Amino acid sequence: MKPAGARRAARPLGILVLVILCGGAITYSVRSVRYRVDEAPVSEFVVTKLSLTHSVERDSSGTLTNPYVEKASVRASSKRTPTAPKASARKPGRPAPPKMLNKQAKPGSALKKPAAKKPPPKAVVPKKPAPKKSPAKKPTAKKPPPKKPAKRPSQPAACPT
Amino acid sequence: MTVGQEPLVMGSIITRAKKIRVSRRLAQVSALVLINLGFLNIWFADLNTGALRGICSPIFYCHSCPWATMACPLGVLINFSRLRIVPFVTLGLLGLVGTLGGRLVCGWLCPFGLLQELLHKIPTRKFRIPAGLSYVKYALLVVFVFAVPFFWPGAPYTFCDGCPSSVIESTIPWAFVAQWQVTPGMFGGFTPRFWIRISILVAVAIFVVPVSRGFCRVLCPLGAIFSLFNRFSLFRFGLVHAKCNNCGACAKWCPVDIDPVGQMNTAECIRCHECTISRHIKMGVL
Repeated sequence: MKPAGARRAARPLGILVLVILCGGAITYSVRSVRYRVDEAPVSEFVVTKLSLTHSVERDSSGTLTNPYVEKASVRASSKRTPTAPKASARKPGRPAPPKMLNKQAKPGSALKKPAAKKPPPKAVVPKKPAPKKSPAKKPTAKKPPPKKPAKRPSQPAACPT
Repeated sequence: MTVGQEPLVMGSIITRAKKIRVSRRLAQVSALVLINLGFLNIWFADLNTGALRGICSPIFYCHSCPWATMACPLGVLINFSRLRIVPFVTLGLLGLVGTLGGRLVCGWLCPFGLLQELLHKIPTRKFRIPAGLSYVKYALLVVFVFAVPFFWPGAPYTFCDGCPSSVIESTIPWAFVAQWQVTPGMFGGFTPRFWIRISILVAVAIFVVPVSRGFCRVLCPLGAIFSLFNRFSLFRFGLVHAKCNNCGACAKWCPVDIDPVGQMNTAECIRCHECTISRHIKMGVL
């Protein structure tokens, strides 16, 4: 059986250890802990804030992603389609670009997703296009895609629970 | 004590009781205002989504409330369990608060505790609950705060989904915010899920009318976390042996039906200070 003095001393010591542990956990998180959300290192505060609106989740590969931010593949598709430049602009001695398989392709047509519907045929009367589900995914050649990842309009401000 | 001294003693007890209860109400209302600073959003834009939302408060309060200033600790624990990452800040903060005062937050700051106390004032027949029911909150903590979100991240059966506090602070307010009704999938109006949540709130309200602090004692997972620290926290109750004459007055005032002399600083004590009215029990450091 422990003597009363040892028992009495154990409590302040335990409190001190707990305070150091808890304070250390907070300090460690603030100074060192960073999580990769969409390839960007973010602190625990940011993850907490994102998690309040369910704006961070684990995908199938186990990485943390923000489902409301457009994926990198969509951003990468903003490369221009190689088209035949004007003969005057071509430097002498440089080989001609490869012949395009899709002659109807316009600059920027590669922006369209392969799974997307076929482009509407060239109509005489310009019709109002159908409302697109995600306009940021299908930028046209006239309208360059935004540099920053566009956010979906339906991003919640708070969890509706 | 002579016969003439009795009214004086009773008078001092009543004054002390009033003092403690008024202080406690003030603290509870102040906490309610502080964690609802989002109402300043009317004048200061973006406060609702400001930096403080990234930190959890030690108070049981839903962060989905349109006015919430800070995050709910249980909500953060659930979300981090879902993401399978360790919430260092939340655990550290809860540990610090628990180490300092145990369940002091439950008795003095919790707005849902305030609501329960007000509901308990409704004049009906009051009854005690068996002590074994207090273990339910530990099971809820383990299962619905840690296990379910960890093993089934997509399952809608976490504590938040049945939380009565979130029904008051989130479900009902958002039901009347038009913004949410145009966001598909987020709030679909008065759905069956809405009514299930309302019925949970009604059930809890009916439960706490006859049982004092019934939710805190049986169902609150945050209370379960803080109760782990109650036995050895820095601030704790002590018996003034010279004044105690085993009158049992402190047990009469206790809102969680424990005997403060025999069960002092046990996990069920919410540190409300009602027992200190009798002056036989005092709170002190170490």
